[in-house]
Amino acid sequence: MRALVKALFGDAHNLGAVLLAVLLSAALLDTEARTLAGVVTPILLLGAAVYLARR
Amino acid sequence: MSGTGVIITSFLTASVEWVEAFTIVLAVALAIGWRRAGTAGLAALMLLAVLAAFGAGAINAIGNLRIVQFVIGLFLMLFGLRWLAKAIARGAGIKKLHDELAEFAALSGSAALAETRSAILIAFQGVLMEGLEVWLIVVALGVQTGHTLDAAGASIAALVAVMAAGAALRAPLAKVPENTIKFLVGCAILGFGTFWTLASLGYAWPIGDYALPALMGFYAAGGLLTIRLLSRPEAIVGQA
Repeated sequence: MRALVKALFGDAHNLGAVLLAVLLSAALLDTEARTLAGVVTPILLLGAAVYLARR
Repeated sequence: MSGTGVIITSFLTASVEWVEAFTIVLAVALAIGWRRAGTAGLAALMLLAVLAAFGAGAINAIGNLRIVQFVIGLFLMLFGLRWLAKAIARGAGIKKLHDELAEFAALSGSAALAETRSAILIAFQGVLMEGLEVWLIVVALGVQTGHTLDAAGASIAALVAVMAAGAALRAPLAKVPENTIKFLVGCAILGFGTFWTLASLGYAWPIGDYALPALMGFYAAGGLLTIRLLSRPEAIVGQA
């Protein structure tokens, strides 16, 4: 069960990074700057990948 | 989206996982024989096939396309981010590259293989655990694009290819460029995940479907740049 959860979600840092990116994107989509979501989200995710790689 | 991208991504993902599963089954087979180890591996594959059918059915039963797209996109982002980060860390020399020969040596020397029952369990669990990520990709990519059978077929083709190569070599498949494949698949999966998650939240991509390869290219370029910036002297050039 634990291995299944890990295979689906990864560790807490991985899950947190993705949820943060999704929440920020969703918040951005509710503003007038919604067109930026397509640029901001990939940058956030790449930043998360760098953070996770350096851990 | 055409089935080609789904097939290639599923094949590459499955190849990496099956190579690792083969190493485990090989080590077990040398301890307790091919028949028992192979049966344990086959049982795990059958369980994965049931899980894939169940997963695809469960997602299709949700009905609301936007919810399905969001859930699938989220899981693909979780999966893609993990693989991309791992490939960057290994490519830059922060983490050691995965070594099938070392894994094989460690498992072969394990005391657990001395007992038949625990060896069978190791083979079963090894194939099941490595196959879970294949299951995730087949279900997520397949259901979202309507190419579930293509994705499943590609993962089975990868299994056959790995088995054939392993049978010919009779050794762990240590020369498969695992980190490069992980890097490419990580970029592709993260691209799919980003594209579908934002679309499910109501975002209209300005360049339509062309955003998908653009996202993959962005992650690949960013990943390669990061590897270059973080590279340590002992990092192996060309591994990602």
